[in-house]
Amino acid sequence: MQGTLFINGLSGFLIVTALLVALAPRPVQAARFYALQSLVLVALFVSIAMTTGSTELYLWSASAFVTKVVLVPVIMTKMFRRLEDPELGSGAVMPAALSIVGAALIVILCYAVISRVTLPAALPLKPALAISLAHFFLGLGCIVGQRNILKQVFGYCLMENGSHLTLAILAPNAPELVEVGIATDAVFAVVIMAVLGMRISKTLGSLDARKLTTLKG
Amino acid sequence: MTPLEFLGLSLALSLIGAFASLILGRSETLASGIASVAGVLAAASGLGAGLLSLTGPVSTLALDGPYPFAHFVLRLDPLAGLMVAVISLLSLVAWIYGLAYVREYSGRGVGGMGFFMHLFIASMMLVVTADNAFWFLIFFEMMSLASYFLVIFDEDKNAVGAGFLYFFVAHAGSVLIMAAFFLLANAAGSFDFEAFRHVSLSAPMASTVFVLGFLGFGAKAGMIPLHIWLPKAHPAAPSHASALMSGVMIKIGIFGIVKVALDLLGGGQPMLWWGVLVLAFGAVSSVLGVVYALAEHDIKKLLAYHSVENIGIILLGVGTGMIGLAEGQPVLAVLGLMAGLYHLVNHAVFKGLLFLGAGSVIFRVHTKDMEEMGGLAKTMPWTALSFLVGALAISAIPPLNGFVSEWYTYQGLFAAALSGSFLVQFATPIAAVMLALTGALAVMCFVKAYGVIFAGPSRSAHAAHATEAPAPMVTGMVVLALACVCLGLAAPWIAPVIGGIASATLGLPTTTLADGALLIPGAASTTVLSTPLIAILLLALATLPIVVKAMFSGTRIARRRSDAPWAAGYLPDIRMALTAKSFAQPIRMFFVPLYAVRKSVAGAWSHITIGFENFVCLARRTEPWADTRFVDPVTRGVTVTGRWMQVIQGGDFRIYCLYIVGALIVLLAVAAH
Repeated sequence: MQGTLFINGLSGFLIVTALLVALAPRPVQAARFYALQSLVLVALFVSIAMTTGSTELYLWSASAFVTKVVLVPVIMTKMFRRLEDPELGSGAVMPAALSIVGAALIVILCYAVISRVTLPAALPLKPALAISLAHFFLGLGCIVGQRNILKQVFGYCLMENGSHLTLAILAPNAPELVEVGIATDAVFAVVIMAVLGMRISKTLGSLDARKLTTLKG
Repeated sequence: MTPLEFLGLSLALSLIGAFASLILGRSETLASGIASVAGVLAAASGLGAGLLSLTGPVSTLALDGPYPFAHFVLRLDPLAGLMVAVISLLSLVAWIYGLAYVREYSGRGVGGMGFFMHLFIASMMLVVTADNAFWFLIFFEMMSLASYFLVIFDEDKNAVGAGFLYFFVAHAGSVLIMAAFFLLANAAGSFDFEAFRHVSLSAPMASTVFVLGFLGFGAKAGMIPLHIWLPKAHPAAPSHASALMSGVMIKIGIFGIVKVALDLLGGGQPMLWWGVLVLAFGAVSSVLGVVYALAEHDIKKLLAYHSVENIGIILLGVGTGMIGLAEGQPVLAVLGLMAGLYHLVNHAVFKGLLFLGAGSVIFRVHTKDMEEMGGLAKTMPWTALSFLVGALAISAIPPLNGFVSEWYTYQGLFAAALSGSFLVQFATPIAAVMLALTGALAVMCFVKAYGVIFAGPSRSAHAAHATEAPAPMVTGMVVLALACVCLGLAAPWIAPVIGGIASATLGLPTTTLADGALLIPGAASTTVLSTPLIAILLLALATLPIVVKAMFSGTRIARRRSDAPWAAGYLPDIRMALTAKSFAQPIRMFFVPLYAVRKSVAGAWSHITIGFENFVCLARRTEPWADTRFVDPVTRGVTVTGRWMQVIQGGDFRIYCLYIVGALIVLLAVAAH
C-alpha cells in the first residue's frame, strides 16, 4: 500500500519536472531538466518493480537510466549548445502561468477519464496512470505551445516518457524486447531530430517553427 | 467500257482519293499527292464518260434505293455527258494545278481540302447524272456543303461571312428547287425524273414549277439579283476551288434551269414568257455583272463578277432557245440553246483559266489587290501568256472560243428579232444591244486587268521579285489556254456536236450549224463565219510588222531611242502609271445609277448578314450570361471554401499536433462519459 502511495506521489513529481522541461528558457537547461525527469521515471520503474515483483522492470529501469538519464541528455547538450536564435527568444506561445494552469486542467481531465477505467491491474495505480496520460498530453502541448523546434524535440521526449510509464503500469511483465524497442526509439529518434534541427538551423538560419512553412516546395 | 462504267470508275476513284487524303492528313505532301493522283485519274475517267455520251445513246443505271420513292437512277444523256465532260476537264486541270498550289495552304489542313475537293467534284458529277428528285437534292446539298467548306477554308472573318451568305443563298435556292420537285412529284406520283417527263401539268402549275426552279437554280447560277453571294464566296475559296466553283458549279444552275424548263417540263409546250423572263434576267445580269467587275480592284472579285456577266450571256442563249421552242421555230430553238451550251463550255474553260492565272499571281505576290501587282509579264511569262489568252477569250476576241459562242448568241437574237411575235421582236434587240454593251465593257475590263497586273512598272516589292509559278500550275493553265484556242479554231467541228446535244435536249431535229470550216447559224443565207480563216488572217497580220521592220530597220535602227518616256518634264515615277481605279473611273461616273442598284440590292441582302451578326452577338451575350449566373458563383464558392481549407491545412506541423490534441481530448471526454 505504501509502495503505491510512493509511486503515485513520485508520478506527481514527474509532472513538475515535465513543466520545468517545457518552460526552460534554453535548450541546454531543458536537457538537464529532462535528465532529472528521466531519473524520476527510473525511480518510478524501480518502485513499480518492487511493488509488483516484476523482474523485467528492473531491466527496464537499468536501460532507461542508460538511455534517458545519460545518453539522450548528453547528446542534446552537445548538439544544441551551439544552436541559437536570438530573434526567437523563449519561443513560448503563452505565458508560463497560463501553461501551468493548462497543465493542471489536463491532469484533472485525465484523472476524470481514468476514474472510469476498471482494469484490475490499474486499480491501485489510478493516479499514476492518469498522470502518465497527462504527461503524454503535456508533451503534445509542448510541441504545440513552443515555437522553438528544439523544444519540440523535448515535447516528443515527454510524450515518449508518458507512454513509457503507461506501459510500465499496465504491463509490468512485458518482455525485454519491448524495452529494446523503446530504448532505440528514444535514442535514435532524438539523434535524427537533433540532426534535422541542426540542418534546419543551418539552411533557414532560424529555429522558428512558424518559418518552416516557407520551406514548402 | 461503257460511259456508265467510266463514270462509276471516276466516282470510285474520287471516293478513294477523298478518304485517303483525309486519313493521310498528317503527312501533307503524301495526302495532297495521293488526292491529286486519284483526282487526275478520276477526272480522266470522267472525261471518258462525258465524251462517250455526247453523241451516243442515253445510258441508264437503275437500282432500288433505300426507300420505295428513292430509286437510285443515273442517266447519261448528251446534256449530262456535256456537263460531266466539262466538270472532268476542269477538275483534271484543277488537280494538276493543285499539286503545287496547295503548298500555299500547308499547315492548315491540306488533307481536309483534298477531301472536300473530291467530295465536291463527285457530287457535281452525281447531280448532273442523277435521274431521281430525291437523289438529285441529296447530291445538290452535298455539292453546296462541300463547296461551303472550301469557301470557309481560310477561317478568317471575311471567309466565314462569305460562307454564311453562300450557305444561306444556296439553301434558300434548294428550298425553291425542292418545292418545284414536290409539285412535279405530286402530279407524277413518283420522284423519278422519267415520270416527271411524262406528266402534263396545267399552265399555271407548270409556270409555278418553272418559276420556282428558275429562281432556285438561278441562285446557284449567280444571276442578278441572286448573285450577291458569288463575288464574296468565290474569292474566299482557294483558287483551284474558285476555278471549279466559278467554272463549273454555277453552270449546274444553268443545267438545272435547262433541265426543268426543257426536259422535266417537256410534257407540255413551254410558255413564251418563260423564255422572255430568262432573256431579261440574262441581259440584266450580263450588263450589271461587267459594270460591277470594272469597279473592282480585287482580282478574284473582278473574275467573280465576270462570272455573273457570263451567266447572263449563257441565259441569253438559253432564253432564245426557249423562245424558239415556244414560238414553234425549231431552228431558232436549237441555235439559241446551242449558243448557251457552247458559251457554258467556253466560260468554264476560260474562267477556270483566269482563276488559275489569278491564283498563280496571288501565289507569288501574296495579295489579291491588283494595285499592288504590275509588271508581272516579265517575271511570270507563262502565266501572263495564259492569262492573256483567257482575257482575250472572255472578251470575245476572234478567233478564240468566247467569240464563237457570243457570235452564235447574237445570231440567235437576230434570228428571233426578225421573226416572231411583237414581244419577241421587242425584247430580243434590246438583249442584243445589252450583249454588245457587255462585250465592249468586258474588253475594257480585261484591258484594265491584264494591263494593271502584267504590264507597266511593278507596284510592290513582292511584284518586283516574283518568279514564274511552279511547273504543275503552269501546266494546268497552258492546258486550259490550249483548250480556249481549240474550242475557237475547231468550232466548225465542235458546234454541230453541241448543236446535237441541244436538239436532243429539245427533242427536235438537228440544224445545220457548220459546213466544212464555216460556221452557219441555221441557214447560210444570213451570215457565215470561219474561225480558222480568221486565225490565218490574224497570223498573216502579225507578219506585217516583221516585214515592215525588215524593210526599215537598216536605216532607222540607229535613230531609235531607248530612254525613259517623256513625262511632261518630270522623271518617270511609278505613281504616274495608270491604276486599276483610275482606269475604271470614267465608267464608274458614267454608270452611277447602275452602281446605285448594286448598293440597294446589297442593302437588301445585307439584312441577312446583319441578322447573322446579331444572332452571333446574342449567342455571345448568352454564353457569358450563363457564365456569370452559374459558373462564376460556383467557382467563387469553391475558391472561398478553398481559402478556409487552407487555414486548416496551414503547413505548420504544430497545428496538426493541435488537432491531435483536440481529437484526443474529445475522444477522452467521450470515453469519460
